[in-house]
Amino acid sequence: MDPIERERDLDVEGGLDDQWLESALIQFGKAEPRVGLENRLLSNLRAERAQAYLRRPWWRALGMVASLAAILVAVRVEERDRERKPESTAATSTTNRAEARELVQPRPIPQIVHPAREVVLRRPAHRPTRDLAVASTPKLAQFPSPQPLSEQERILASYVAKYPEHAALVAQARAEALQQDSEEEAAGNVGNIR
Amino acid sequence: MIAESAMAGEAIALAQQEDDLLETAVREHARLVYRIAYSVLRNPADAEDATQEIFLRVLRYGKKLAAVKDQKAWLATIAWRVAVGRRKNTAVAAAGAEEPGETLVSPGYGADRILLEQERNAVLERLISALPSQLRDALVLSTLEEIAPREVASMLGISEAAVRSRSFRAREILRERLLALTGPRT
Repeated sequence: MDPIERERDLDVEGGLDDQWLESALIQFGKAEPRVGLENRLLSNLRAERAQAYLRRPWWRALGMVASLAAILVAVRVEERDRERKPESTAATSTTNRAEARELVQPRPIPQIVHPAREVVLRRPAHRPTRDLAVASTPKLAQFPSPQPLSEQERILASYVAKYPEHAALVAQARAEALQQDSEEEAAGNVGNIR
Repeated sequence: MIAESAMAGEAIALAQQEDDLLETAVREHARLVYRIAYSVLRNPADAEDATQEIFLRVLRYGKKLAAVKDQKAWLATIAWRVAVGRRKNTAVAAAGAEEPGETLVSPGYGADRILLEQERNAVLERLISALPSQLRDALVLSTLEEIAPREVASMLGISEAAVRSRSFRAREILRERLLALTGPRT
């Protein structure tokens, strides 16, 4: 028999003894990882740590606190504006109203009165501070807001106050003339169409 | 203001300390953790994945690391649990990317001898995986040089004597089965 083959056979038989089993079991527990295991682990851990840092609860809490502070500041600014606006608006409106009443007393201007508007409901729900500001301003009784009369209007008003009958006649004549004009105009249009 | 900056400094120092501890743990025990994972999973890629997972767990519980007395035993226990958990979820033996026994061959032999060794080791691995789990676990952990029987006992939750007897019994079974495969010596 070839000496190499014989040695191999002996190895096969002899390798199954206790010594072989023990050495094989030791080898069994000696698995070596790929080179650079520690570095790979550490780099992965660093990446994970960086992500965890961004996920930390305090980071979110800080964001919440910052947004809360911004909201508070906005509310405060809005309140200040509101405190200033009503005073000026109220003063203007009362003055105007008094003047208007005084001037137009004989023949009051036809007032277009709006029904009470539900301001809050018409506003978008995501603007509560704005709604508060609108709701708190005084509602005007008529629309458009009364303006002081012009010079001509004032003269006309005084004339009407002094000579109401004459003014009524003039108004009637003026109305008839206007009606006649419109009828003539309508007749002309019909003729053109034909 | 001073108190805040002191607290911030303390927090940074603490974080730095945790980082150092973790890095030390990786440098000192990564190979042990890998071997434990490998001994269970018998696949290098799975073992490395498990090792990653184990140290990520350690990172997530970083504050505990400073309070751990015996880091090696603690890490070994985690490694064992993670690896066993993974073994349950994956088919271990057949799907191995590596030829069984490839890493067990001693260098410096001829081609015939290497083939023979590989064959034997493949047989041994099959026999080990066929052992009852209680005996197999004790045997596999006992083969790791870095772990003392006391630590194996702690990991498996049994006494040291039980570890020894189970390991002995497993070796007996292996010996018998190997002999049965090759026939009695003349």
